Parts: sequence; C-alpha cells; structure tokens
Amino acid sequence: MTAKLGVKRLERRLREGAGTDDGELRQTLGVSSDDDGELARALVTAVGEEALGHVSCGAEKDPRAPEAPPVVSSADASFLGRLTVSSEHGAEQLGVAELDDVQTLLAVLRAGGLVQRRAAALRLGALVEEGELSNEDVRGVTTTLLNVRDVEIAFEVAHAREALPGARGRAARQESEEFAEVLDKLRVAIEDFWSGQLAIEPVGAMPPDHRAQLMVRLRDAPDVVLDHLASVLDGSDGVSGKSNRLAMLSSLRYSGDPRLTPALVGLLSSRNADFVPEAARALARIEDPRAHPALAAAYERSVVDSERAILAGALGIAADVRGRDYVRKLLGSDDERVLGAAVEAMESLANAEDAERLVPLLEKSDPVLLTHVIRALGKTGDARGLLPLAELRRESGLSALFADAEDAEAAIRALMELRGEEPPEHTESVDLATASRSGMAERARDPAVVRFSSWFDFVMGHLWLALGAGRRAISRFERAAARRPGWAAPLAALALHHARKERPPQALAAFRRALEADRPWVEGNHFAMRALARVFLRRAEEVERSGRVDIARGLIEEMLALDLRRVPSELRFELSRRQEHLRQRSAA
Amino acid sequence: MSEAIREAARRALERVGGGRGAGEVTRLTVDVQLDGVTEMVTLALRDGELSWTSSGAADGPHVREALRWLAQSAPPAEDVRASQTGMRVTETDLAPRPSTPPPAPPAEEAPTPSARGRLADALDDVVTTVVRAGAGERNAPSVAESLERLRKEAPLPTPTGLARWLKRLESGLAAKDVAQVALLLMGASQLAKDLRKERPSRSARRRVVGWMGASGELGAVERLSDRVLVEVAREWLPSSERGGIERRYLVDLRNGEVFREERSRSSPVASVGPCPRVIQVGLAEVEDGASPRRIRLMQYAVSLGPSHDDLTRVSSNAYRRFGALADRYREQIGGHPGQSEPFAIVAPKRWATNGEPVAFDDDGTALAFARADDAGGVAVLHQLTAAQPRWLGGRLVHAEGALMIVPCVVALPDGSGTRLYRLR
Repeated sequence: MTAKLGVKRLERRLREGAGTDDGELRQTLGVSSDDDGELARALVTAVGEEALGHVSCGAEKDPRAPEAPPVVSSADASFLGRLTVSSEHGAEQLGVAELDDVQTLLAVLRAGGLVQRRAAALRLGALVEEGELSNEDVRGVTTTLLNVRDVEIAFEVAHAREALPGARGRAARQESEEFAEVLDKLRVAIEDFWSGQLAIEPVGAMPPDHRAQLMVRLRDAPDVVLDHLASVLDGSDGVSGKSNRLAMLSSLRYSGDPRLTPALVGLLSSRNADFVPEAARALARIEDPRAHPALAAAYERSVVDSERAILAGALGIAADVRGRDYVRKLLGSDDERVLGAAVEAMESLANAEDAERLVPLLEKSDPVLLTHVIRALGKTGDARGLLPLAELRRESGLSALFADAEDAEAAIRALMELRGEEPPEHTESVDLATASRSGMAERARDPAVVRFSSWFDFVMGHLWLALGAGRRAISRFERAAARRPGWAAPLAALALHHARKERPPQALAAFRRALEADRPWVEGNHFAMRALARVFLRRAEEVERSGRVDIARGLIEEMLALDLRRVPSELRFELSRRQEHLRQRSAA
Repeated sequence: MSEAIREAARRALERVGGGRGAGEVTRLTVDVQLDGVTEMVTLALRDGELSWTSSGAADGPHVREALRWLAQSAPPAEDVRASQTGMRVTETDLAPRPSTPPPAPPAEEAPTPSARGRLADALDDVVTTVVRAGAGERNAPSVAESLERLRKEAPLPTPTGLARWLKRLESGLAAKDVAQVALLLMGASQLAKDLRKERPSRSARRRVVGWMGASGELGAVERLSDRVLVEVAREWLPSSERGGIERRYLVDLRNGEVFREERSRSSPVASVGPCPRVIQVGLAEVEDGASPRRIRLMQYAVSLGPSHDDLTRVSSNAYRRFGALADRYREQIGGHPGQSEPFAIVAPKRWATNGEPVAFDDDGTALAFARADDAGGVAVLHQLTAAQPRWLGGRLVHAEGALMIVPCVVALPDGSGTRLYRLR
C-alpha cells in the first residue's frame, strides 16, 4: 500500500513537473547527484516500469473516453429528419424499412438523404416482390425505378428493378447476369495480373462502360476484386502511376462498398492533397462507422478552402453539418475552384435558407458549376427555386442541364410533400415527346411514296442485318436516310450497327448525322442514347491514349451537351468524371 | 577474382571514358565468394566511419575479404592538388602507413562528438524538459523547443521508428497520459545511453535498430529465405512525418512470428501486392530490432487470397489464453519501451456484446478493444461478432493497466472456409 502511494506520488510529480522539492524526490528515487537529467531518467523509469508491471487482461471496456468525434446534426424535427433506415433502434423513430405507403417511399426516393434513398429503393423492390401492391402502385413504382437517374443509388435501384414484373424485371435480371460475366472475366484477369501473366492493370484496361458499371455495382463483386482495387488505390500494385490511381479513385465515388474503407481512410491519412478530396467523396457514400471519424479528422486538420469545403460536403452526406456555415461563406468566393467546391458541398448541406444564396449562381456560365448549383437547389426543398430552374431550362438552351434541372424540381416537390407543404402547380416543362412530335410533323409532309420507299429500305436494312449481310444493310439504311433527310432512325440504326461491331469512329460519324437530322428524336431514344454515350466514351479513351487529350475532351463535352435524361446514371457519371479528368490533364 | 574484377573495371573505364572523376563513392555492395560460398557485403561511409552489413556473419571471413579488397584498392595516403595544366594530379607524399595497434577503446558510455552523440544529447534534453515541465503540460514552449532540437539532430529523412515515437509522445502529452509518456521517455533515455556506447551489446544494438533502422549497424540484419508469409493486415499510423506510416503485418507460416513492413512518404518503397496476400519469400532482410521485427522483401512472389489452410496455420499460432498475451506484451514493451508495438493474433473462445464487443479466452478472461484508438473499427467489429469470428489480429496497447487490442483484421467463417475482413 505504501509502495503504491509512493508510485502515485511519483506519477503526480511527473504529471505536474519535477522542478521543486528535488531533495525529497531524489531521495525517493535514490539519485545522489544534482544532475537534473539523472533525476528525470530515474523518474520516468520508475513510473514507466511500474505502469508496465501492472498491465493485465480482464478489463471489458476501454477505460479511456471514446475518441470518436460526435456527429453535428441539424435539428430537423420533420418527418424526413426523423426517418431512419430501420426503426429497430427505438419505437419512437420511423424506419424506411417499415413504410408501406408507395407514394411516401417514392417521395423519399427523390428527396431523402443518401441512406434514406438507398433504403427506399430497396423497400420498393421488396414491396413489389411481395406482390401485395395494387396494379396502379406497381405501375408507379415501375415508372419511377426505370426513370430514376440518381447514380448514388444506382446499385439499389438495379436490384429493385430485378423484382419488377414482366419484361422490365427480366431485362434487369439479364443485366445482372451480364455483369456477373464481366466479373468472372475480371477475376481471371486479376489473377493473371498478380501471377505475372498480364502486364497491364486489368480494371484500367476494361472498356469504359464496363468499368462504369463495375464501379456502381461493386458491392456485388468478390473480395479479390476489392483487394485488387485497394492495392491500386494505395499504390501497391506496382504498375499504376499517380494519374491512373486518381482516375480509379474518382470512378469509385459511388461504389459505396465498405470493403474499400481501409484503403480510402489510408488515402485520407496520407494527407496527399491530390487524393484527399476524391477519397472523401468516395468515403462519404459508404455506410460504415469508420467513415465519419476519418472524415471529421480530415476536416478538422484541413486548412485549404477548396479541400475543406469538399470535406464539409462529405460530412454533410454523412448527416454531419458542422461545415455548413463555413461553406456558406465560401459561396461568395472569387476563386472558381473554391466556389466549385463550395457549391458541390451545398448539394448535401443546403437547406431552405440557402435558396437565395444559390439562385444568383445560376447566372454563371460554367456548365459544371451550374450542374452543382441545380443539384444544391434541389436539396433546399424551397419552392422559390422552382421558377429559376424553369427559366434556366427555357432560356439556357443547354439540354445537358435538362436532366439535373428536372431531378432538382422533382426533389423540391417531393421534399415539400414530405414536409406536408403543398407544392405549386407544375410549371411548363420541356417535353421530349412534344419536341419529337414537331420533327415528326415536318417529316410527315414528305410524299407518301417517299415515306413508303424509305420505310421499305429501313425494314430491309434490318432484315439484312439479321441475316448477317452488313454491307447490304448499310446500303439500305443510307438509301433510306438520303431519301428523307430529317429522318434519324436509319442513321441511328447504322450507328448502332457500327457500335455493335466495335467500330467507334464509324459509329460516331453516323450518330452525328442522326443528331443533325433529328436531335430531339435521338435524345428521346433510350437505346440510341445509351449506345451514343458508350461510343463517345470509348472513342474518347482511344483518342486520349494516343495522346490527343484536347480532342478527347472535346468528344466528352460534345456528349455532355446533349440531353442525357435517357442515359443510364453510371454512364452519365462516367462522362462527367472523364470531363473533369480531361480538364485537369489539359490544364496540366 | 578481385584482381580480375579490378582489371575488368579498368578496361571498362578505358572503353567508356574516364569522365571528370570528381565524384565520391560512399556506398558499395559486393558479392564475395569464399570456399564456394557467396555472400553479399554492403559497405557504406557515414560521417567518416565505415560501416557494413553482410548476408552472412557480420564479422565473418567474407566481410574481412571485402574489407581487404577495398583497402587494397585504395591508394595510399595522398595529396591531391591541381596542376598548372588544370589536370588532377595525385602525388604520394607519405610513406605507407605503418601497422600500429589500434588505440585503446574509449571507456563505455563516453560521449562522442559524433552525430550519434548529439542525437543522444537531444534525447536526454527531451526527457529532462518534459519531466521539468510535467507530462500533463501539453503546450510547454520548452518541450516544443527540445522536440524541435531532436528533429534537427535526427538523420534525414527521420527514421520511421523515431518519427513514430515523436508522434506518440505528442499524443501522450496531449492526452495527459502520464504512464504512456513515462514509457516513451524511458525508451528515449535508454536509446540515448545506447547511442553513446562505443561497443554496444547485442540488446543495445537491437534497441538502436528499432529506433533508427538497420542501415550501418553491424550485424543488425538477418537474411530470410524460402518462407511463406501471409499479410493479414495493414494500417496507417500517425508519425511526425506528414502522412504517417503505412505498416503491414506479415505472419510467418513456419513459426507464427509477425513481421512488419513499413513505408512512408520519405521512404515509399515497399513490396507490391494487396492485403491480404500470400508471399513466397525468396530473399528478405529482417532487422534485429523491436517487435514486430521490421522486414524488407527483396525477392518474392505474390498470390492473392490466402487459402483456408494458410489461415488455419495462422490461427494455430494464435493466443488462446490472454494471460500469456499480457506476459508477452510486458516482455516486449519492457525490452523496447517507446518502440515495440506488438501485434498479435488472438483466438477468443467466445464473444460478448454488452454495448461494445468483448472477447473471452478459454479461462474466461476478457480482452477489451481499444475504442479510443479506433472507435469506427470497434463498431464494425461489434456488427461482425454475430458471425462468430474465428480469430482476429490487432495491435496491442494498454491504458490504466488494462491490456487492449486495436482490431485490424478479423477472420470470419465463410461456408467451410475462412474470409479475412480488414478493419483498418
């Protein structure tokens, strides 16, 4: 007991400093000389050895206070603010997994937080699978799930679509089977890479559309793929340079796979300014208890405005709004990089108070910045954002913004609905069908003989294609197109044929002719737009590999200038990601 | 052979041209063949002193042969001056140096004016300053000043052992963790003592290697070949260097020893491969330092995904009694205070989740998880305990007398096999 008291006293001396009353301390420690160094050595040795000697097992809890930073959440007492994924944590809380009302779930799917939207997509799929919904509800769910363009929940939506009845469900299930084949090939390629039989990093060598699909459906991939990706991210694959690692990291933004968390936390810890923002974006979208502490620590130590704003936005996705006021101040910045980062952060941090700050930014000309502003406005849930969005669609003429503007309007309306407010009447909208009909009316003026001969050639072209006579088919399509210059269908068929035959340059040329003939028709055609996006991506990658970065960038920006509402979300993301990547390369 | 290689070098020099000849050779590696056995000897000049390492015995005949060869190839003492023609002319002014007995070794622990001596002084200064200011004083200017001086006296780039210690000390001071600070300072004080020794003992040399790395330390490296290692975990640890240290934990399937491989921004070279992986080691160097011993893989082949058998072999060396784990921990930390950060594989008998996960061994002794070090990792482990993990690997720490583990990896049942899930 006496010895213990003695040790406690020594510990106290070490804590408070051994500057006074040296005589007694020296005597206790058996130090005879006046040397302060000797006294210090003796004191730390006595305390250290004593502390170590008592180390043992048996404790069930860490005696220290947990260091996990608290989540700074906004006080939102509304339905959406109280809505959790599942109500298992307490009867007081509402859980998405327990909701049965389809309209509410659809509204949550459009306007909820990331976790809520993910849960809503899965819940809708489960409700359809249970088969207890009315036909009208099933139709509503089907339409929404097929049209939802939110890449953040693409994984959940893809799985929910598999539960749809009929052809839609079969198509989704087939897509999953095709993806499984892609994964099988990739797994073999990864094993070949690590056994030295393949010299090129296999994920980077995938076609861009397959890669985009892989990244949003990564949670279905086996561990070996994730381990490989993590090794590329942390630079231990032995072949990938910094730019390849960055490209890989940016494409993982929406993967949401917790198996990537250690690698992403590692990148944040490395404090490499090039990797931190993208790592934060990817980490924020992973539902993992490890993500928030890492993001909060990175935010607290960051001093660069643009990086800190992105970290604040990442925390916002994780429902931590500690950076909201800081980001609001940055919205007035003259530095375009800082402004871009701040507006991007507002996509997760904005609330109804921010509409007034964001609306003036719609006058900016940079389409990338505009995209972020539109999405942030959608997050506000403020009806004052609806009119400027409608005006933007009417006046800007940038059809590339249509998809985001439409989503933002839908999000505002859904948010108002969830809050119990009454959304205003629908403003005018640019209806693809209407636009398409105008071209159709024009074409209808062609004489009946011309129309009949063109259709005949068009059908014959498809027949020849089915028989494998490609040249004859091309000749028929060309003849049909020449007869009716405003008719895009034969040109689109021609382009699709070239795309299927892996001839991106020829496909590109044919698509351009189709767009020239009837752009609204092409933009409204689901198959044509999907193929068009793939062709542009593949061609841009080919061109970039040959060193012509500016031409590649031109291709991507040409594609992004189109109305991308019919393009799958993962391809839309891949296009904007490549645009950003090529911009940076051009600048460098 | 030595003459042959020297002659070949002369011919090669004539062929490629002599160049300006103003460079300086400070490090060379030679393969020495003796009695049919070849060993690799590396010789380096640091602060005017020659140091060496060998793939065999540090003071064996191969080293002596390499030294003899180097000494014979060196010109005798000379005076180099510029001639009037601008050519470098070498003239020997002195007779060959007579062989004289070496001077008597200085008394052990005598301070030397070398870089090591200055570093030792700086370490002592940190210990004294922290004790004067108090371990509960996190912002004392005198402490910051002494740490700055230590950074200046440390070799560049800062050795990972020292960089890690600096950060741990800062964290300990910030947390006012007196016991932790005392252990770290105890280690620093020990190192200062070891650095001053002209002829350090093996244990002293091991301690120096733990802090400063093996380069230049006689006999500090052991060669390893024909081994199979499984990398089970990797983690980022803060250090005084920006970006910290990436530490990888590799388990030797032969005896269960855990090695660590490290890389940082200033020394980014490490082996390639994802985690987890299986490494067939052709040749590796292991530093004779603090546990887990630092390893450098030189010739190796990587394969993905350890098999169930590999993981079973890893678990066969796991700790099943936590009392033994605590004994081993105390032994390792006591041997290398401030440096050793033991990593262990433990196979709990059962799990409990009273708010947070707890592991129990065969005797019913509990092992807590270091929530304060990694709250997120422990939370994920909490979710995974429902799957009844077979074993887990983690870094051992202690606080207030309680031994805890920072979980880095957990082995989960996967059908009939085992799947590793990284927590850090």
